[in-house]
Amino acid sequence: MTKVKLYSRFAPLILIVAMFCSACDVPDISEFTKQSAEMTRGIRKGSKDTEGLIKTASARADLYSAATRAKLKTDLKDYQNGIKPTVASLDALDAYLEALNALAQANKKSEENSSAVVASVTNLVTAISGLTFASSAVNVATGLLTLAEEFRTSRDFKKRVNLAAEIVEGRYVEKRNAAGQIVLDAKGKPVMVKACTGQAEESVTRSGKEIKELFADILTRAHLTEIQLNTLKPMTPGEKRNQLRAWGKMTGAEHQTIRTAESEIASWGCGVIDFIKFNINDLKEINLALSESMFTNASRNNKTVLGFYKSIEASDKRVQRELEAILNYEGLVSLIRELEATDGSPEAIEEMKLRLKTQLDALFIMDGDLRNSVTRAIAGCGQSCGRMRWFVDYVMCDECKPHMVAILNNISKAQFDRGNGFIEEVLAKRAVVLDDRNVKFLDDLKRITPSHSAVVSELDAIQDKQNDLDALLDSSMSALDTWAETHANLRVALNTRKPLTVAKLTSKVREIWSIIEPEKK
Amino acid sequence: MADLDQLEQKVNALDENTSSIFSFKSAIRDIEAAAGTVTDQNVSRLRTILKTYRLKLPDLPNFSRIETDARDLADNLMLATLAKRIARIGARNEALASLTGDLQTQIGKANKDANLLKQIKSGVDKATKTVDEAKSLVDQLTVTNTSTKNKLKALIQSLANVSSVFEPQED
Repeated sequence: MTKVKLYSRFAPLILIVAMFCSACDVPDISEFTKQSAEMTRGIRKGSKDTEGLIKTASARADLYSAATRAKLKTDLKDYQNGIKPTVASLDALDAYLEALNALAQANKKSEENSSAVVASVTNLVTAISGLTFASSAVNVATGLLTLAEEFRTSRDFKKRVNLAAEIVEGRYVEKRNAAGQIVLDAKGKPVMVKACTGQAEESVTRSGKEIKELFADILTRAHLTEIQLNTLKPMTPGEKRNQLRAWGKMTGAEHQTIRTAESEIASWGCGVIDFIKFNINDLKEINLALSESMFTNASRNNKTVLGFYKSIEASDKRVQRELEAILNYEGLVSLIRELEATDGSPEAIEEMKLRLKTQLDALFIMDGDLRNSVTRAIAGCGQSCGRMRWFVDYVMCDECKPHMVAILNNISKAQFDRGNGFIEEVLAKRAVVLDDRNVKFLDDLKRITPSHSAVVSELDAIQDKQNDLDALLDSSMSALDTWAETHANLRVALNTRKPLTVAKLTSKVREIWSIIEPEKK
Repeated sequence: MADLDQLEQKVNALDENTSSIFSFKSAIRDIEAAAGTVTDQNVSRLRTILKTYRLKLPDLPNFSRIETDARDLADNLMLATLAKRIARIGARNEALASLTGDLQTQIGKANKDANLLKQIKSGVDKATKTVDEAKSLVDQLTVTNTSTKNKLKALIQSLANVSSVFEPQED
């Protein structure tokens, strides 16, 4: 055997190296795997917390009647059964990336080792080229090639990712404009968009419900024997339908209805990520409905404490406001006297008297009794107070400044001072009463504060839990979008031989965990 | 939707301290009527309206009947929402399980691929070792030595057998 012929028989081995060298294009997905596992852990926490919320509500005898709690317990079981496939799909996402990661790692090692063996075999061939038994080595190479070819054609990393893409990300379709034409990108390639959008969630849910209800109806009507039921047990839904059809328990029309509904579901091309998002959307609504209900019922139960506290607080504020207005009135009277004593400008004195009238009107609005007392006191003063009676009775308005000024001009300083002396006396008496009330209100508030704080804490706890769970579910939805985006980027990375970046997913995962463990933020 | 807009305005206009019992009664009757016709999309909004209403309802003995009605309605709306949402998840479960099953198939294949590559690695390791040994023996072929030649033949044969570590794989 010539050297050339011998080398030519080693060509398959060179092909293996070429195949393995393509393995070095597989990006490192260990970080994607890690972040994905953290994301799914966070989503599992959200579904577990929702379960915890239903469980908590079903145990709150103070918030719900026995009948409502019994229904909540039934719902809890339904929830636990209903959420299992979602948890299984999260487990599958983890297992998928772990398998891809193992594949990527194995690819990498194989590439390194295959280079080493080819070098060794080549050396061997060179060394023994004069011998005739090298055909054995060629057999090895051929065996490897067969195996490698099999791997290359059906088992390579890229194919695995592409085959899984539609399952996890969902289907993509060409984007079309309003006229129905395909939208192209800058490079002239069609812009691809997710098919599972818009009415997909409602349509898939409706069709799924139709299948489920029809199937349940058929099973009820079929009166299956124990043996038949056991035959159906291990079957997939599709197999069950075919079997029921074979037994004559399902009509052709029913079979067709189910197939049509299945086609409707399939037509949207929704992936695992989309389905998990649909479910999280429902978890959000469950959280909202239950948390709001618990909050409102707890508020109603504690309405007396909350209402009493609120009333005392509001009444005390009114008292304090009136006290402040009385003090301000007295302060203004002093300032007017001071201005008059120090030859202040008539304009400034007039301005201050108008302000004094406004202050008095405000006091009358706040306290009807006070108005009566002041009116009586001024009436008792009689002629010696002149037109102070008018000053008291006249109600100020935007256009009545000239009229009020005319009244003030007809009140002498002595009448003004005397009249205000009477008013201040009434105000001082009123202030004493208000002071007492203020002290009493503050005492009441102090007394009721512990029970009020306990109620507020409970309500805050319900509200905080609702907000936290809502934020966790929102972040989970957003992280799932980013997961799909990262998976799509993985496909691009495989084609462009660029590294895969998972920074965005890392950031989303951090967001999820900062909600779950805020103390670690 | 227009009905819920009006209902929302009506409830927003109620005041715990100033609205009459008749206004509260009228509002709860309207809410009850709306609950009978509300769509799935608007049930959350109706619950919010009812929540606003209940938080405004005065805590007075003559309002207790209204409060009981409002609480029952609120609990029923909450339970209906809960059941509906769980049913929605359940309705999609078969399709989700089917997709998860497909994904599991791909996981199985990927794991098989990974194992296959591990086998290749193992085979390559063995082949490398054998070739290294063969090289060492070939180095000794400076003189014609029948015994060494025989050993070399046996070694090369074992190299050929390396391929046996790779078993046929299914797709």
